[in-house]
Amino acid sequence: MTEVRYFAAAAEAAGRHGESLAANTIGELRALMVERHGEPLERVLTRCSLLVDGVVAENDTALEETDVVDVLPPFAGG
Amino acid sequence: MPLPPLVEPGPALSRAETDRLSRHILLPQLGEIGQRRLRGATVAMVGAGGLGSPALMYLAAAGIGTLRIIDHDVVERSNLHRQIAHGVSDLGRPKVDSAAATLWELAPDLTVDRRNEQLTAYNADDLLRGADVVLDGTDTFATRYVVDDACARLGLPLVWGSVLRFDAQVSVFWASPPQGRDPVRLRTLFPHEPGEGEIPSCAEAGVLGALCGQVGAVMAHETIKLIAGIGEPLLGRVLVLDALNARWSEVPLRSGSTTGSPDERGLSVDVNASSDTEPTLGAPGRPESPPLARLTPAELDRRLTERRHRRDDFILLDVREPEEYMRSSIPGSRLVPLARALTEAGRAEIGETPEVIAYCALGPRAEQAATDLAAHGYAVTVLEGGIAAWESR
Repeated sequence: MTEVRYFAAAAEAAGRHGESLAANTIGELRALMVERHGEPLERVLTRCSLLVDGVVAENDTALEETDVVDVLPPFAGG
Repeated sequence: MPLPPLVEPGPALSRAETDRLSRHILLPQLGEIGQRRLRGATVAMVGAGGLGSPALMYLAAAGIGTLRIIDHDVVERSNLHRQIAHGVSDLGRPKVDSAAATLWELAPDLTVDRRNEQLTAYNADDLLRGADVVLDGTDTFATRYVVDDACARLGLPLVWGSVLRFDAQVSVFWASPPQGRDPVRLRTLFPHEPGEGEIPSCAEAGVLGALCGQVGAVMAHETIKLIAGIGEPLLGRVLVLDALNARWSEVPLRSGSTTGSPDERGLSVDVNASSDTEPTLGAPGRPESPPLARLTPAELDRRLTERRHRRDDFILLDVREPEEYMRSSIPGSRLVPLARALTEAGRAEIGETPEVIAYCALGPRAEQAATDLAAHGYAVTVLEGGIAAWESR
């Protein structure tokens, strides 16, 4: 299972701060997240960085059992 | 591990500054030398708003020498719930002027370099050049990516904070960090600049005012740490704050490329090897000398703290030349250059003490002084790696 941590608008859209999901790639993980949490999270996800072990991942990035994926939305307020 | 200090120590502090900053100078990691580094620093703050206000105020109060403030806005009433450098009497006034007045109240010796201009891709390099470190507290993605690009071109570290609603992110970016650290920047965290209107701004979605205080303060102390070369910088980590749930999280950030240049790794191996193989006995020709004790920078740090609390007693002896001592020295040290330390007059200056801890730039001069002092009955310990090792501890 991959550990997912949601932050800011992503946490709000998912209704949680984290969960464990089984996926082989970031693409699969995205699909699973959207399936579970619907359109609000899908909208936020399009602009989020998904970091696997600190590195921004693409849809074809492979996931290991022990990976932590951080879902971080950008914002620019100062 | 700390990075090397960004700034060389500035001139000695005045009496008034020493009084004002005495609680900083007490901190062993910072001390008088670190404080003089802050004094010698030029910090550029882009945006004198929600993040800029607390960051600037803490930096001014911390004794930074020059604050360059870049902002082209005037103070509006809707700013005041979070932009605490400005007050009701400042409404309509340029933020750079309003902020400068607040900062001078905190630090009369501060130099404020006011740039009442909009930072753009055309002037960013000119506005940021000459700063030792840049802070970004602006409120649009466009400006943030321009600042990130300019800092990468200029090789400057960027202390970056961002807030929206109850959420905040803060980090240190540096496209060309020292010591083989992994280069990370805004484009590492968010590779693609979000389109205009894609993400709401504070003006649209709101922001909790006091949240800015926390994040601005983190930006201020990360700046201080970089300038003085102390502590573990927030490089390669993003702190994420969820104020509504009172939760700070740490998100690691890496470039994904191989980190650490081979040169850097080779260097660190060499340093270890040389300290392992360096002769620990007296200088050649004096084989009868007892072995000299040695201590690491970390041990010295701890013993200096103990000495301040009067639980340890020794003289920290700097045997370099006065010019070197002026450039930087270990707080609490006493200068007796090597040539003098080898004489009766030099020993009279050192006087009676349970122990002498000697250091120079790298070690050889301290070894020589220590060997001679030991022969004259002193208990002597040599700082391994000299001030170079101390400063990169």
